[in-house]
Amino acid sequence: MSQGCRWFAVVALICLLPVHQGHAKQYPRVVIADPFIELHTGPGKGYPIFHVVERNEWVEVMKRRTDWFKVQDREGYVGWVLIDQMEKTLSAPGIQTQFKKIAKQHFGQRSFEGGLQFGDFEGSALMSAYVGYNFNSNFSVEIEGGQASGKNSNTDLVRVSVLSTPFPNWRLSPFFTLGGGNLKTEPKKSFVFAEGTNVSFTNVGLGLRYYLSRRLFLRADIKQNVVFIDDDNSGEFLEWKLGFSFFY
Amino acid sequence: MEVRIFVFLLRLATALRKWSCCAALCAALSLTATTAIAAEDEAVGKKSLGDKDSEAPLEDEQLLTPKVKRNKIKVGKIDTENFELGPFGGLYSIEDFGSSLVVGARFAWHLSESFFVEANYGQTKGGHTSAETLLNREFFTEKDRELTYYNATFGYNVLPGEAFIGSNWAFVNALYLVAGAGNTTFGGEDRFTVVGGFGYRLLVTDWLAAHLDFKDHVFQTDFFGEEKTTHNMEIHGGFTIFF
Repeated sequence: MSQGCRWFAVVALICLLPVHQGHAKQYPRVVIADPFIELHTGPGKGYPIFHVVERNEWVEVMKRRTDWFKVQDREGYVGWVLIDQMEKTLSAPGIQTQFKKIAKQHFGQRSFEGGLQFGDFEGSALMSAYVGYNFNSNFSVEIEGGQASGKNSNTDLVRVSVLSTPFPNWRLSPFFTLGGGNLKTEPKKSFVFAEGTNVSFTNVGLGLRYYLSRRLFLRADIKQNVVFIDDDNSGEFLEWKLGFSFFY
Repeated sequence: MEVRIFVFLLRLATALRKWSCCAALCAALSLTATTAIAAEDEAVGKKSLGDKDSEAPLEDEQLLTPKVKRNKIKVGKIDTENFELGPFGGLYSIEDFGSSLVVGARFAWHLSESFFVEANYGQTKGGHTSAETLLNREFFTEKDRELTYYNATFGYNVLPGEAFIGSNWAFVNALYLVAGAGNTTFGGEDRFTVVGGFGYRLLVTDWLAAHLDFKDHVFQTDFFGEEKTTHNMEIHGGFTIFF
């Protein structure tokens, strides 16, 4: 794709984004059930509280950013309220308002996950991205694409793995993996006489997932790869990587 | 004529419905009453027989169980804005190759009020090295001078706050630190790159932010025979839209 085309695509994407419209919007209302809620000037705990809205008053909920809600009260004051206070409001008489809050219990029940990892592939700096699908909380499959930049060569890696997670609900949850794929190695330009290779490999490994917050977790992998060079020769490579992943 | 027939039929239907409702109500009432009387009789009978169960208070045995159906009320959809996307432009200094214009795009996902993850893509073109200028010869093709990079970084809003313009305007802003890794394609080869830096974000409105970023891209080159670590500084400004 030419440079012009790339930029046209980026600009077109931005133009497609929903930009706020001018007409007045009807926002959902909630009634304050606590003695009062505090309105901050910005979406963060450090921003000063400039106004409070008392019990039995209502506020309009305009938008949400992470765990902060932008609200407007009857008098027209606009400020940001933390989710902990918003959860104590009523959306109808006697009914507590519920907001979507992703927490640790969702981590064990995830369907999809994906992430980016950085590490080492037998002395080469490795960067890889993966997506995975969980058939149930213990068993999942994933596909990974990676790039290892070494001193003498660059390697592209594609791998399909199956994973077994014995304790999916633990915050620090170990897993075992079994996989295989393809390695394509290109020598660097300075090595004029070297030839590229295209070989398949298989691997076993283990790893750890550590739930951080919301949809994010840390993931560490260590894998032992067996590369089939030809009928008689095979080589072994150790690989480790660390990165952050998200789940849905 | 047709209208009259229609009106007649409508009245008839209404009357029938009323009567059927009344009939149903009567039936229900009589059934409840019978059940209630029967239940009371049973209770009295049990009591008179001196059954142990009769010690239980009568209030517990509710005659009519209210079946109040609450309307399901959903809070209307609240617009969530945790993502940022936008273009940037600035200067990228490639070690030995001078500084050139860089253009790119940024995508960010805000995880909490303090943390975010960011993906960046940019491209620039290196100039002539000092060796080339001195010797008046070109060692690199135009294609070799092209540099593209992509990276993923983890960010932390280290100094969130507000910026004031005059006495009537206040803008939410933050100074943030980023660190991560990625890939740089330069000299026709992929190079693993470590990225670190800091940036400043000013929210012009709730959904539009202006950015100014300083970053160091660290990668290895071996253009002149020896492998060396290069620091490639980038300064760029841009805007993003929250969605």
